[in-house]
Amino acid sequence: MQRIKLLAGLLLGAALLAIVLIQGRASIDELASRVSSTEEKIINKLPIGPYYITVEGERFVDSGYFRIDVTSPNNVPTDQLDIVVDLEPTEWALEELADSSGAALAATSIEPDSLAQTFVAEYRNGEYFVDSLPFHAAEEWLVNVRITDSDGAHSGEFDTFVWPRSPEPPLPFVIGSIVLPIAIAIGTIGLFAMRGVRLMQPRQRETTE
Amino acid sequence: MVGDLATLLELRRPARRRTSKPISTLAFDSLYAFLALLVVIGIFIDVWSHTAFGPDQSVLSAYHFLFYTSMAMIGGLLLYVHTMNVRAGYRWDSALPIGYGLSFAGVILFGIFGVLDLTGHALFGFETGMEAILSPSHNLGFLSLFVVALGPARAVFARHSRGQTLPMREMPLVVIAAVTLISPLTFAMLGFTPLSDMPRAVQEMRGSAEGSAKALELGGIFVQTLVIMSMLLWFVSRVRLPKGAMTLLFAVYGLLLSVISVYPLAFVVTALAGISVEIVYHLTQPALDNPLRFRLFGLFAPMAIWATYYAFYGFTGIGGGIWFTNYIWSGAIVQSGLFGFVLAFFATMNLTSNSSEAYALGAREL
Repeated sequence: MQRIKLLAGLLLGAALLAIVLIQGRASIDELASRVSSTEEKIINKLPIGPYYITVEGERFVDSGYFRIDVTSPNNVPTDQLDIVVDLEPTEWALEELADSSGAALAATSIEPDSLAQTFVAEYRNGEYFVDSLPFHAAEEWLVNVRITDSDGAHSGEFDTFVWPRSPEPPLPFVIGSIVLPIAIAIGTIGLFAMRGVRLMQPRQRETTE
Repeated sequence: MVGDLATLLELRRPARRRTSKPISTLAFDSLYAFLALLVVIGIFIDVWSHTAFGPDQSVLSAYHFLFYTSMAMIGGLLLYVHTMNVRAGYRWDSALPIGYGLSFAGVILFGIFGVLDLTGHALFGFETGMEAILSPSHNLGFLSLFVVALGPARAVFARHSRGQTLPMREMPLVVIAAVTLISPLTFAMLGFTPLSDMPRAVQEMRGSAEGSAKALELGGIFVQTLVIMSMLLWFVSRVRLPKGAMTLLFAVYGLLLSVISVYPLAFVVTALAGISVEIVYHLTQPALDNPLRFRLFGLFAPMAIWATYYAFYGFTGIGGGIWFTNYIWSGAIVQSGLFGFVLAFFATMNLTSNSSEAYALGAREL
């Protein structure tokens, strides 16, 4: 009886732990984000005029950002540049969107022609930031980066895939992911103990590995 | 009497006493194997989330809960039996059951992987695509999972003499043990797993990248052959599997493959391949004491897998059927057989001499 109470207590504890973890996930996530983040390093790296740019950041539907690091092999100063980023879906992506009867776009009520957008990067702490990139569909996007310096304008472009936002998994799945293994381990050991099922063979049959 | 005396003298030697370990029961092995399967299922679901939604979108991804909790339970279970066995009189350094000492090291490695993975995210950002397969911390994770999953198989082999037919009641355990062992290797080779999808080349050949399509398809066939056959040969070298074990093993593996590819036919094709291997297994009856039969199994089992694979797409015409020329697809089947044969040949190389010493050496190496 005491064992059953102990096991029931452990299971209850596991369930409580699951609930606390789920409830506090946002706070834990925020805390963890201070030491880690979901940022991608090197979304792309390419030469533009006399510069090399490294693009880091995130590329999810409706929420993305770019952090652009600019270096110059000739030690040209890189802190006085005008950087403009143009976004538009690739031709292939537009075909895909048209094939799917515009379903993906219909959700955002946006016409394909209006998807092309321009952003001016802001210089902060030695890097150029485009803080908000509203990618409207999980497709291949064409990113054009224009750098203007005293010698004129230089540009380069690259394709990048934008990921759909991951939906929050259903609550039973999240709770089950934590409780199920605990319940199976503790429950089975408890069941074995009650029924007298041995986990180890009797010692006289011991052998060497 | 002489035997008893020898045993007694042997036990008096300190070195012998140190290696004396408890033997687990089927009940313990089954519980452990099921928890290991939950770890594997958790990772398959996580891989699916990455293929569907790209990199993790929060540091504390809910898709990680299942495999981390299951692994914690495996660690807890091993600590529990260790404590029980120490109380029962075993030395603390020999208190884990046979086969599970290495697995406990695997659990610790898995913990190290978790810390390194977080550090890697902070330094290199989150992984996408091939980055997730090549990430050093992920590879440590695959290795540690493989080591953890070794436990039940090693325990089963320790309980049974070489070549003994396993009782039917142990079949689910052996199947789960095999699948959990093949899975970490599958994660590490993801992208080279033709069984998980329509023939990749069928898709690629529609474009202009014919050369790369062939390289991907054929490379995948050889990698997956090595992964599957290395595991199968180890199992069949140790015990005789009950009827249906091969089919069930491939069916469960196919089911997991279909999760990552979101392609239900992966299950059908892999299960059919399992039936083919089952037939080859019962026709050749491989055993280590008969290198010829063992090598024949090594030769024909992979051929059966890939012949079934191409036959399925050839007959059904799904995805346009087979887009390779006859030389290419039939050659891939033959070459996979040669790969399997070479693996089986090396496994039995020491056994071809009639020396019993050589036999013992070869058997130990396996």
